[in-house]
Amino acid sequence: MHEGPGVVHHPCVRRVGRACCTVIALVALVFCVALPVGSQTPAVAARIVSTSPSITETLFALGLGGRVVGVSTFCRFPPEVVRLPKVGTFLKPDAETIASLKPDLVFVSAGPNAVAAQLGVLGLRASVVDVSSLPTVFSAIRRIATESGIPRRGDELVASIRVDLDRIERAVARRPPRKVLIIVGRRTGTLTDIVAVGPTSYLSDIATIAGGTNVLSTVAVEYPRVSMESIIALAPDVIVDVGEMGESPADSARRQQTTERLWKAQTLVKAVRENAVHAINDDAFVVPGPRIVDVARTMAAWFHGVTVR
Amino acid sequence: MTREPVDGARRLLVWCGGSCLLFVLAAVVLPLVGPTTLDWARLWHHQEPEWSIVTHLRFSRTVLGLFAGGALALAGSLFQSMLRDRLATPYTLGVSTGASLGAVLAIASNWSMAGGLAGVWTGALIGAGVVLAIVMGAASSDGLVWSSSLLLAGIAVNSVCAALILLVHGLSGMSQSFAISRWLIGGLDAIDRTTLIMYIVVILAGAYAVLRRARQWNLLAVGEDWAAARGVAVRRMLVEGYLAGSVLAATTVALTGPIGFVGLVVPHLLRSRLRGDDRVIMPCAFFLGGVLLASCDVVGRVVMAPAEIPAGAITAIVGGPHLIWMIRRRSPR
Repeated sequence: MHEGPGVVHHPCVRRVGRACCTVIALVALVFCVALPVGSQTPAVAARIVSTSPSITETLFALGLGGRVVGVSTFCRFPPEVVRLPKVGTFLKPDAETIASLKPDLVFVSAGPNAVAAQLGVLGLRASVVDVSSLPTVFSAIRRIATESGIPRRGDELVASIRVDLDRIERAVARRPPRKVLIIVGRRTGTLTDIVAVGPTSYLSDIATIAGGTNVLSTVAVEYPRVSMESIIALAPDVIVDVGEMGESPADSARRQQTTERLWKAQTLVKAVRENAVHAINDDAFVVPGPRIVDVARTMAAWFHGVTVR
Repeated sequence: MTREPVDGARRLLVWCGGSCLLFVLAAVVLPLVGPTTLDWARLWHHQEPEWSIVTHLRFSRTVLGLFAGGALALAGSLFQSMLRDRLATPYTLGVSTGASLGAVLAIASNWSMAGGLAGVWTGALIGAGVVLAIVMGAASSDGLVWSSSLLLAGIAVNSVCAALILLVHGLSGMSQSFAISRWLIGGLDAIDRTTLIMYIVVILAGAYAVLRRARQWNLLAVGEDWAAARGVAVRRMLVEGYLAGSVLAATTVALTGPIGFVGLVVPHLLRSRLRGDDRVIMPCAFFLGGVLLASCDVVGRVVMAPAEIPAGAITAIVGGPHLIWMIRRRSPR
């Protein structure tokens, strides 16, 4: 009897075979463990909690609105978020409320709070998102998309925003830049304790794209406090005042009238004399998210009378 | 034998006259300093914007700083004598925190304007008035007021108001939350002339009510029984002092927000020089407190121009180390 080539019974050969299998298994195990975490795409999150308006707006723009189960107290856009459970403010989100919503992913706004660590202790996946300048708006969108398991959609959204912003920038490129002051805070009912936008804020970047130059571009503070004297001396061509926003359309309209009346008395300010003070109640101006395109379009219209679709 | 009263009168004249002179000098000089470079020829010929910048914006801000600093320092030295507590400040008896709560509620409820005044100012005054009534009611028994019960009631109401501020802040919307945070930092700014004149009248009335009783505050600072034995109507004095000090602190907080440190550091620095004579300390505290706050405001406006640093931060940065240096110099080696 002659034994075929596929049938091996010699003990030495069997040992060699087992050793080879063990080595292959070990190599595969080591390869899996050593694989960089970043190269793995997380599973698509099914229940997401957002702790800031910019994160919420980004999630909805990415098409993940149906998976958002909790938002911050300040979230008002898109309108459907008003009905969602509230988990506190972006400065102080409540870990217990978040945990009760049983999310598999929580986006936390960067800031002086320990909620990300608290959520980690509770076994919840938390991702910290930092938004300040325009580049960080883009990196935040990409991060939110990647963490949610849809990285390509993040790239697409960023590309689409860039295209729109480029279009606006090109439309105003040949016009001389207008000097702009953007006010984001002041004492209610007065023109005192004015807080404006410094050079490192995303609003300053948007104003530049829309054909403006921030009059506070040399100040080393993100949101400096400025006096009326400084505003007169800086002589902005245009003032965008989002310092007094209302909580409802009726309240916003009333505040807008008050703001306009306050500014009308400041005849030493160039923008007032040229009727170029814009009192605004649209919260898109204070939310660094996908609606920055709308903000840039509005600014381009104010600065240069240019309408960009 | 007659040397001591003569020395006392001379000291009163020198210190009060000197600090009053500084106060007036600050009102004249400080408006000439600011974040923008002025064309002096244009200013001399009353041309705009230089003329309005100096006479309207800078002058009103400087005067507000002078009277606000003066009111806080005077209220601080009054409460320190009245309560015989060297750590007392204009904020100890709760009225200022009540003013803050009123302002915060006005911001949270979107109260922009009320009777021609900004809603925050009106809200602050109402808040101060309500707290004043509560503290007086809690501290008085059979129509009499004791300093210990006034202090305890003030501290209790202070804590409640501070907690309510946190509550309102936590429940308010995004823009309101930002406005509340900014208001709680405090600071000076130019205000309209009518409001400024009304404020000065109130502060002068409050200061007069305090200063005319300076001798009695001196006696009360030693002890209530000791003062009563020398003819001081202690209970009436406590009520008068509380009302006057509250008016000084609350109207100031209504316009500037809470500015700390002036009310503590100025009376202490003066006490280290003037050995606890309120007849000299109180008027000097008013004048020098004003000079300190208005000067610190100028520094805050100029250092990072056109950005500003709140005056309260500068007063703390300047006054704190100076106070520590004074304490170390006086302590036995």
